[in-house]
Amino acid sequence: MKKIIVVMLIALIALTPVFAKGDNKKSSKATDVRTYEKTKIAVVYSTFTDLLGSQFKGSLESLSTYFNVEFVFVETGFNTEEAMAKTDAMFQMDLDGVIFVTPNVANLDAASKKKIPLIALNEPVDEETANQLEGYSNYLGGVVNDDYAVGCSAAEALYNAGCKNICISYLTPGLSKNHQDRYEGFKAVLANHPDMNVLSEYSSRAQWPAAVNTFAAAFPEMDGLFSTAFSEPGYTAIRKNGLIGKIKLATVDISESTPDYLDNGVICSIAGGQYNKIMLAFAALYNYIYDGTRILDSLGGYCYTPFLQITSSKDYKVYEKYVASGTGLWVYTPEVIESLIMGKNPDMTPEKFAKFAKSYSVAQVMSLRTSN
Amino acid sequence: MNILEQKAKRKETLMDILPFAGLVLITVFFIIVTKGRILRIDNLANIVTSAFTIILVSCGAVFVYAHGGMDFSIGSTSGLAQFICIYMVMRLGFPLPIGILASVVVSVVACSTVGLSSILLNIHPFVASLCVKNITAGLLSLLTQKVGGQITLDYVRFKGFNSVGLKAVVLIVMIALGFYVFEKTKVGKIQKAISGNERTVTQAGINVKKYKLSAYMIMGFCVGIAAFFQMTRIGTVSSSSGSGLEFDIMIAMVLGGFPISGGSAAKFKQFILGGITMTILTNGLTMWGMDVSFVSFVKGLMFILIVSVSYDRSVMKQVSIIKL
Repeated sequence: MKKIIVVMLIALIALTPVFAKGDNKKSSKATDVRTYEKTKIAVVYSTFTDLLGSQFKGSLESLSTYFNVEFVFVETGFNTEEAMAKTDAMFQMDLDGVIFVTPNVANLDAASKKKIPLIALNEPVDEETANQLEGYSNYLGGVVNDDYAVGCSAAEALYNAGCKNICISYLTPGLSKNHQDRYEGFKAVLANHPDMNVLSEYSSRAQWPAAVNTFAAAFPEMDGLFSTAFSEPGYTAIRKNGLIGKIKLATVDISESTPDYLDNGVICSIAGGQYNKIMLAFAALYNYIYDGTRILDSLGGYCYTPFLQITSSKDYKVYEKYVASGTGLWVYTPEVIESLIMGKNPDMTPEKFAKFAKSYSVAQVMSLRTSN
Repeated sequence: MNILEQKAKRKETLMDILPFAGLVLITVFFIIVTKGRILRIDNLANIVTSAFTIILVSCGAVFVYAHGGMDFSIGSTSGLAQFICIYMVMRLGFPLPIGILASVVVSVVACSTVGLSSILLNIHPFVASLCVKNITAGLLSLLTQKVGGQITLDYVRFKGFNSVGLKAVVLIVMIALGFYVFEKTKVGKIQKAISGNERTVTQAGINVKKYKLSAYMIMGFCVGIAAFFQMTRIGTVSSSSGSGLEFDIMIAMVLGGFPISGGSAAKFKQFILGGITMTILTNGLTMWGMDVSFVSFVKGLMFILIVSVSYDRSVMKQVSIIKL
C-alpha cells in the first residue's frame, strides 16, 4: 500500500511539469512591439484533432503572438452533458471573449452571467434559438459558410455529370447544422431533376467508408454519390470496392487524396477550405474587444463566406500551397486580420468586412499573399 | 478484540476511507494547478450542476449494478425521454407536470424492458440493454428527424429549473432516499445478495425476478427525472441528447470503487463519490487550460491513479478464491 502511494505521488509530481498547461501561443520572436493588451479567448468546438479542427486551431494560433492573445481550446466531444460541463467550467476562466461553433441558448446564458462576448460559427440551428439568442447583448452574431449552396451545387454537379442513380451519405441529423444544410440543399435541387433517383440514404456519425461499402454492396447500379463530408478512409473504400470509373462523387472537405480522385474522374464537385471563417470570427470578436465595435450588427448579425471549390489537381496544388498551410502560412496573415479591425483601420466598414468575407477564393488568398 | 479482528477492523476502516482518498487527491491537485479558481462560488455551483445528472441516475443505477446487472441503454433512453417531454410541453402544449410524468414513464418502460428481457429470456443484461439501446436510439433519431433535427426549449421560461438551490435540494432528497432504501431496507440488501449467490437467495424463498425488475424500475425513475433536468439545462433535444450517459455511469462506478459485479461490497456512497470525482476531473482539466492534445492522455492517467487508490481489490481475491 505504501509503495502504491509513493509511486502515485512521484507520478503526480512528474505529471505536472510534463503535461503542464500548454502554451497555446506559438513561440516566435516578436518583430516589433504591439500595442495590444493581453487577452484570453476561448474557442469551443467538438474536436480539434480532425482536419477542420486542427486547421481552426492552427490558424488562430498563428494570430496569438501578433495580437497578444492567449487562446484556450475547449474540446466538447459529442456527449451533450460533458460538453455543457466543460463550457460551464470554461466560463470561469476570466475570459475576454469566446468563439463558439454553434452555441445554444444555455451557452449564451452562461456567458452573459460573466459578461463575456460570444461570437458564433454558423447560424442558429432553428428560428426559436435565433429568437432567444437575440435577447442576449453579449451575442455578437456569427460567421457562416453557405452550406445550403454547397449542397445545391453538389446536386447540380452530379446531374451535369449524367448521374441518374444516386446514393446519399450524411451526418446523423441533429449533430451538425452545417451537414443538415448541405443535405437539404442537395435534396432541394434533386427535387428539380425527377430523372435522378435516390437509391439509398445512409446517416451515420461520420462513418463515410461504411456508407461507401454498404452502397457498393447493395447498389451496383449506383453512378453518383453525395456525401456531406468525406475522409481518406472513404477514398480507400471507393478504391477497394472498384468504384473508380463507375461513380461520380460530390462532397465537402479537401484532403490528401483529393487531387488523385480529381484526376481519375471520381470527384465532380468538392468544396472545402472553410477554416477562414474562424479567422473572420476572431476579427469580428476582436473588433468588440478592442473598442466595443459590433461590426456584424449592421449586417443583420451574420457575415457569409463561401467555400473554396477545387476542380483539378492543379487547383489543389495552389490550394495546398496558399490555403492548407502548405508553406506554414494560413489564409489570412495577422496584418490582414488587423486591417479588418475598425479601431486600427479607419477605412474599414461593416460593408467592406462583409465584402472581404464574401470574396474568399484561392485567387483572393494568392493576391493577399503577394501584396504582403 | 484479538489481532485478526483488529486487522479486519482496520481493513474495513481503510476500505471506507479509500474512495475519499481519490477524490481528495484530485481536488487538491486542481486547487493547486488552477490557483484556487476551482473553489470559486460560481464554479462550485457549476460542479453541483454538472454532477447532478450523474449522481441522480447513480441513485437508481446502484440497485441494478449491485445485483450484477447493467444497462447500456440509459443514454438513449434519457434522450428519448427528453424528446417526449419537450415535444409534449413545447409543441403539444401539455402542462409541465404531464411532460415530466411522460419522461419518467418512458424511462421506466425502457429500463424495465431491459430487465424483463434479461429475466424472461434468460439473456445477459448487456445483450438486452444493447437491443433496447438500438430501439430507443432509433426512435429518438426517427422522431427528431420528423421535427427537423431538434427541438429548442423556451430557455427563459424554464430557467428556474437550473437553479443550484433546487438541484441541491433534489439531490439531497434523492441521495437520502436512495441511501436509506439501498443500505437499510431489504430492497437494497437483496440486490447485493443476488450477486453474491442467486441460487441461495432463491432457495431462501425470495422472488429474485421481482427484485431484479424493481431495480430496473427504480433506475428508470431516476433516469426520467434526470432527463427532465438535462433537458432544461441544455435547452435543446436532438438525436445526440443523452449520449454517453451509460459510460459516465460506469466510469463513476469505477472511480468510486464500486465492485463491477456488485455483491456485498457494493456501497451506495461509492457511486456518489465516483460521480463527484468524475465531475471534478472534467471541471478541473477544463479550468487548468491544458492543451487539448494532452487532455485524454492525462485523464486516462488520472483514472489509473484514482482507481489504484480507491478500488477494492479484496473483491477480486474473493472471486478468485471461490473459483479455486
